Amino acid sequence: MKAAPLHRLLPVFLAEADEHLQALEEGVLQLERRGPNPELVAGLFRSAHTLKGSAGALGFVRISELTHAVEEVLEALREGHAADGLADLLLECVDALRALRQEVADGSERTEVADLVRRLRAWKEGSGGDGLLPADVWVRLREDCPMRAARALALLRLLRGHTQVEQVAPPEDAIAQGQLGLEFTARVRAREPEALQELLSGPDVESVRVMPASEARDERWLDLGPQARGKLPDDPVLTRRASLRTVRVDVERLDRLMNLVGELVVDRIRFQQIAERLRGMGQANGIAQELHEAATHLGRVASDLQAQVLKARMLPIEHLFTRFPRYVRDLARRAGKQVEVVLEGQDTELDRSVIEQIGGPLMHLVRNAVDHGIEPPEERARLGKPPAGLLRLAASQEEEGIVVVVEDDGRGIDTGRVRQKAVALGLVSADAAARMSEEEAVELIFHPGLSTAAQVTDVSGRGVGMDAVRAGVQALGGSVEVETQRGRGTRFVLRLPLTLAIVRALLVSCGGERYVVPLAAVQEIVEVPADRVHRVGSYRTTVLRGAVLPVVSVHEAVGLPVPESADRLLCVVTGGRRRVGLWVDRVLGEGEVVVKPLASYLGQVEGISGATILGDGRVALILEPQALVRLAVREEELAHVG
Amino acid sequence: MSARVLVVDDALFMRAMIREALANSGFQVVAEASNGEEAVTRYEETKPDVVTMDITMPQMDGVQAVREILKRDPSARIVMVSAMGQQALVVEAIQAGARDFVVKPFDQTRLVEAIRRALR
Amino acid sequence: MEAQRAKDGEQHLVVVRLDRERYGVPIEHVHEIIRMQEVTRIPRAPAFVEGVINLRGQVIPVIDLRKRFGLPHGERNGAARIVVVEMNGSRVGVVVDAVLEVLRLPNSSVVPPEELLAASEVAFLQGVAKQGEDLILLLDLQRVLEVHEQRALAELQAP
Repeated sequence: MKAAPLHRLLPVFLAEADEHLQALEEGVLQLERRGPNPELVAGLFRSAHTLKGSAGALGFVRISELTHAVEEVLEALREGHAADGLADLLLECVDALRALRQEVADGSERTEVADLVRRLRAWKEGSGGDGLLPADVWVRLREDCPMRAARALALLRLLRGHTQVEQVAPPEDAIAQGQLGLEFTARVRAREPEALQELLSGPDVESVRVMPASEARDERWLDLGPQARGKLPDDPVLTRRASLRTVRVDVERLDRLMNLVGELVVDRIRFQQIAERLRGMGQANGIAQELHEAATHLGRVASDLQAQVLKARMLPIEHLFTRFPRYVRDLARRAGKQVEVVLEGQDTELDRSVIEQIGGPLMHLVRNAVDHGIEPPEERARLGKPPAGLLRLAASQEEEGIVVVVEDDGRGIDTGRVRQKAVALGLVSADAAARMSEEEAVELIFHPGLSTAAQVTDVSGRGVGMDAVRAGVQALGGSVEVETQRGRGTRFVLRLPLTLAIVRALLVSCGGERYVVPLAAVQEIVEVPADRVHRVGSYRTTVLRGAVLPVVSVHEAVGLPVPESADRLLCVVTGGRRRVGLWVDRVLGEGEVVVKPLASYLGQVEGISGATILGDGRVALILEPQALVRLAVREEELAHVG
Repeated sequence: MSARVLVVDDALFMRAMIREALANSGFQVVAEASNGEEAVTRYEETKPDVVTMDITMPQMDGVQAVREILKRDPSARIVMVSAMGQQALVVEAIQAGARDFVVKPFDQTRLVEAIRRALR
Repeated sequence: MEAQRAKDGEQHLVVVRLDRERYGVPIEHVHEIIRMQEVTRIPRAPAFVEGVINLRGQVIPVIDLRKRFGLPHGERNGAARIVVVEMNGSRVGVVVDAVLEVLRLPNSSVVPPEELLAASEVAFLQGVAKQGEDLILLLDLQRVLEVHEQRALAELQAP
């Protein structure tokens, strides 16, 4: 949605639409009374045509589709077709157009037009020669439909038993090879197209639409290019065009692909290690070099591949943002406020899982801004502010991540009241509250005790649930910051990872099991002779470049016997200010892994932050260095007590 | 008259379950088979209205059995009973002429609906 | 399913074998039954949690019912299966020695477990069904799967 020009043009369109709808209605009533005459039909046609043109320009697809169908009918009238039974149908169309006009004034089109369009076309065509009516059948499978390709083929087979199937998109061969999203369409010739609806409906089928087709619509089978894609998912015609060029892919499948790419990267590193070793042996240097080059190339291909897979998971934040104008409008109306929404950076792309999970926190911030931040119009007028408050949602890409800003020009957060409330609730002492800086006081709004106390809703200028917002964003690996100025407004800055699903990691093995260590935490990998690791109880240390380094045995952490003789391979990881050596059997390589939550049933498992699925289908656990450091500290204490 | 069904599955457990689901819905199980070869023989003996066909079976698998049965009776109505992850085989079976399919684990209504669709 | 059960006065069970006993799992909780596969162990999980597996991209925990019931460790053969059950929205795999059959039992054949068994065995059962001479022990999945209480207990006992 392009907010600015739309804002300017919408009132013009709405006024114009009112006029044309009025003219259409009067004309149809005349048509009913006196039958068609050229002048009347021409007038009707002009109204429908103008409306179609403006609606099309503003992207109101349903209005333009319906007016287009009305136009076609009027065209037939002009050619001498009798008008029997048409008035009722046209009046129904006028009603639907009125409803749509109101809907676009409020946000977006919702009234369905497919049925009216179908009936208009059916009226126009009467019935054909061989008694078989051409129809386009559009089928959408349910999200949870297992074996979509097989289901689609079974439905097509069923369709064949009852109609002549002339064309299928995507083609059946492609479907058989799994190239199918949730939708497919078939051009058929059927005695009773209406009956197909029921025939095809079933548990795996979300919806079926049967649209009488005329040969004139054949061009719609062509792909009209990228602008037709992904814009208006509700419109069967557009969806069908899109289905020819785009393929929907299950996110799970992308995850699997991602896992495989990760394995590829690991293999590349192995090749490089082999090349190094060959070179070390002093022989076959040419071969070593060649192997090295091949491995490097493989690495490049793997990372390109990875980038492509990641890209396939990205969606513009528009998918989320477009909900807000309407949402804010409703909230504002209920609160007796005026709010203007400004959206920026809608084409900023984010991993779809981030988009899915950030919706809740954003809604929350927006609701708080409207309910508590922005003042009622009278109050704003008194303060010399424009009566309509401004709510700005802006997304942008910065360095490693995405920044989303939610900003209002309302009253700001009253930190004095926040302090008072926090003291009253016993969250901080009066003393501590007084010593707090402004920033620290603002931070209190994220305190669970404060943020869940319903009665602070009005005094804080920010409602309940701020702790949930922060928790939600942190769960994604992001952060929330707040800046506020009394009387001027509040700005929340959300920093989000581009993608939450992927983490660069070291793959290690221990006792035959593979583990993943986030690379960000790994400082270095060192090999230490066994006799240089000292032990008190289960607390181990070694000395690395003069400093004591606690050693955590992954074997022990996972309940395996500790091997005795071998040298100790240590991954030195940091957690906060401390370091520990993570003792592992082997380092298998590095790569990127797709993070999966550990089954919620297990609750929080200390030392494990999640799991990933490796290329061979096995699950590997992701070690959490901070927690392992904590474990080491605890053992240290135990050792010293014992 | 209730439709006559041949139930093909190598697991006794599944056969029992399917038999029960069908009995509850007024179908008549006229025969059972535990592999593809047996399915073909039983089909010819009993000429059922519809067959439920497991995919992974010893001797002759379900897809092969679909081909063999349709060779003998092109109007045969066969519903595949598949485990998850066997989509390629189900697709093959449908291309070979199977009418419909259900995915294990399924509930009774799923199976019954698939059979009813196949009988249309 | 519930309505049907009430109407028919029946229970629909997946019957599994564990050691020498036969146990019944209410079929409405059984999501699927899969073959044994390699399990990734979870450190410091309760002993009866065998680990996690990859169920088509989803990581699900697997529990060892023998350990859960304090039965001796048995040799697993090809008949062993993971029964994936769904309980309170999460999926959990339960390892059993074998899956035997699916059965309908009239509710009238079920008696409270206390009537036939010692107290120690009763904890995980919601009843016992008599099928001819045989007994089928009806699992109370809610109790079987309760892990948090168990863990809290383990932590209390730790030094």
